[in-house]
Amino acid sequence: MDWSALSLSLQLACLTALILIPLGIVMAHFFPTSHTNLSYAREALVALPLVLPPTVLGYYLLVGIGGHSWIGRWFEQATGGTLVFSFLGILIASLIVNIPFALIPIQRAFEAIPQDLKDASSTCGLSSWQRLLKIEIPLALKGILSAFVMTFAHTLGEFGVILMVGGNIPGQTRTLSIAIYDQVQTLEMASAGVMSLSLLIFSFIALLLTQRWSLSSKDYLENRK
Amino acid sequence: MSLSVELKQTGPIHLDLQFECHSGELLALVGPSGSGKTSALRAIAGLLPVLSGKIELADAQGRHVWLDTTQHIQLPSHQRRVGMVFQNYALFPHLTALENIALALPSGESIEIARQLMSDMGLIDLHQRLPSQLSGGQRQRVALARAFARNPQVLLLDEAFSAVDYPTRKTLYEELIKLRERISIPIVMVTHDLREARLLSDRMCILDHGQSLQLGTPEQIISSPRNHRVAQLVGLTDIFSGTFIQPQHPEQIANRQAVLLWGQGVEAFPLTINDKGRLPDQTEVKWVIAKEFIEMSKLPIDGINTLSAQVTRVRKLGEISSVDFVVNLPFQPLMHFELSTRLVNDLQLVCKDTIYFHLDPRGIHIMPVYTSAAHKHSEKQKRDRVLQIGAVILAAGQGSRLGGLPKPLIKINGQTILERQLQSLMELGIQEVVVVTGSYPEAFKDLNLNVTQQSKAIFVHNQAAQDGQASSVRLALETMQTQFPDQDAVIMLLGDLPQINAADLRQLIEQFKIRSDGECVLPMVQEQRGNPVIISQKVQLDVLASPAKTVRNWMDEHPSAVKIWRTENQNFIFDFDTIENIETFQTKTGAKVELPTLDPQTVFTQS
Repeated sequence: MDWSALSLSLQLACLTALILIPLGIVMAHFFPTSHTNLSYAREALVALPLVLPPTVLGYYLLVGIGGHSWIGRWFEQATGGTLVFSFLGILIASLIVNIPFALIPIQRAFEAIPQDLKDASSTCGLSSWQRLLKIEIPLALKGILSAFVMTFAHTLGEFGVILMVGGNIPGQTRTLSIAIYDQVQTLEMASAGVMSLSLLIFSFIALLLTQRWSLSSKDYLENRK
Repeated sequence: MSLSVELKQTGPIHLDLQFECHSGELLALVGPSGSGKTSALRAIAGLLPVLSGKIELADAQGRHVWLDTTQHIQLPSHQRRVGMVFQNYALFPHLTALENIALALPSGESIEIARQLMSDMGLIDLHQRLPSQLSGGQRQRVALARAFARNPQVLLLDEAFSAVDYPTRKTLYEELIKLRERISIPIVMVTHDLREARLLSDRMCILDHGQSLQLGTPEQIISSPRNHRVAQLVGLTDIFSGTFIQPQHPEQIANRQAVLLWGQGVEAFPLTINDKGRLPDQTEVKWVIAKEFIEMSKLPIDGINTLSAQVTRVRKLGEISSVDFVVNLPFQPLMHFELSTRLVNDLQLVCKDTIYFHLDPRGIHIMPVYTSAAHKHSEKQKRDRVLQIGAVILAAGQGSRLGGLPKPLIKINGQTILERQLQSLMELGIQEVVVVTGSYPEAFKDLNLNVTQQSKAIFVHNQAAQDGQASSVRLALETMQTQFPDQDAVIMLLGDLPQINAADLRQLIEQFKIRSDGECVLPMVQEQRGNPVIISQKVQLDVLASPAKTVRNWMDEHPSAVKIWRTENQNFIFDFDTIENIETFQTKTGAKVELPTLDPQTVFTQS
């Protein structure tokens, strides 16, 4: 069992979800979907990582943040290290790959809040931020939780992009899924089996808990009528 | 405190309205769905961005500008102190009743105020309930309490009572009435329910397509809707069509009375109405009558505006009975009255009874047909059409009822009728004139035709005049066609119409222009066909194309192309056909009438 790989995977999943979920909430509140071409374009862009092969994403990430890009060079000058083949690099990759899993459920949950409730919060004197905190987040909680689950679970299982951007550096970029791949490559099937099983059980429990949590949270909007 | 609202924008939602609502006043915005009433309310609340408009609230502290697009002021909703109640309550489902109200309290206010508001609304022991655990009436009370929690300067009610059942609605009405006694702020209510608006509002504003059509007290609007659309929107069922005729007789003018022609065309029935001097002649109108101005009897009634009708249905609904009639007019209009059951019993009204009724002119309210700007524009274009118009004067008659004399040469105050007619045509710039003589050719020979020098009048003589007028008409039209081709229309003047003047002819031409789908306009005065008529070139060519055809039978064959112009103008039927007519004319006008003296030699030999 590669404990460091497990802990790296958990760190990556937590950070990805913790960064993306607030971003999704802010996006859904301040940039609600509208019937404009710009809005359609944004929707399409957000959903793009769902359909692109991980290799395509990985390729563009390598080009975008690699040593020859200005971001990569700037990072190298500032820190002395490279973005690719580092934890920060795979975090960036993970954030981009998970955008649809985090943003879309939240966007839908916010859209489901009836316009008259938003109007009523304004006529009750709530400012935009107050509306977000007191009305929209509580009412969209279910969508937010499910976004969290999706993002978390998807990050744990992410493989292709991480491999392309991060390689396989123990303690740095070697996540659990890559460790399993590595073990299989070297035909250490027993070790791969243990890790696969633990990832399976862990994912299942995580999903079970968050699902239960999100399902048991009250859907006020459904009971409204 | 007073709220003044002025909204004007063409898109995305068309709004064109302006109103004020004072402290303690309840103004209802009434209209069908899509009339823009909710948009107007949302604009006041700041929930709808407005492209052009001004919303101001004036109170003791001064003027608060909520919206002024000229100065780019558009206060966000949460900065306008409004209390708003929504149709589907819009309570926050995750908050308890008390939390819902407390949420709207201005910062720093104690939660006790929310509790107080709840008990004021009769919401005892419901503090911890979620909205889903409350009944519709309780929810709407919480919503009302929440609207007041903010200590609003304006209260806005958006179909606030439509989601609850009738008994609950009634108690909510009472609640609102009680509230108004305590809190004196402008209240604007949106509703599609006219009864609700009448019951609760001090004034109503009728909206349609984003435009305010009428603003006034409910009584004012219902008794005198400004136009047909308003009448429809306020639910008046008996709305009839008619044409407004301006007063023409001196006594009509003196009594400020005008005529309303009920129905269309020859079958229209003239009703006397009070004239407010606001409508132009010949305006197409809709009309309604207030029930209290209808007198009913089983025995015939004398006087103006009396009609008879057949009862077709009587339904007694408690104190009120609903009675349907078919009025005995050729076009059989239906009328429907809500009468008191007592009156129905007194009159012993049953089906198939004949009933007589009198419509008091004071109760008849007329409204111009509500037309769009595009319609008005096309009407104006029709009126402004430039037409080439010619005229024929038929002066071939024998004047046999006057003992045989050329009637066009009868002199009124020293001027012959023919001269007067030519002069009238000249005044209108009609130069293409054909005068057909027949009988008495010599009499027309030495005519002083000074007035015609500028005109291109052509005199033609009809040898076959005694065969009847048709041959003269044919000759006139043939001459017109050869000498002055391409006339859009031709006026056909009889030579014995003494009173027709330029103004009458101008009106006739105007009627022809307005009725652009007609080929012929025929003035009709009290069931009598008048003269002259005006015919289009098409009629002229049709008649000339077949030798047997006359203008008269062309008109009979094409009834839909003949447009009847209902008028009270007697000039169109008054002729010098008989000595009595001439005498009447003399006594009425005091004019001096001289009959032409004929040299026996010149008299055309009569067959």
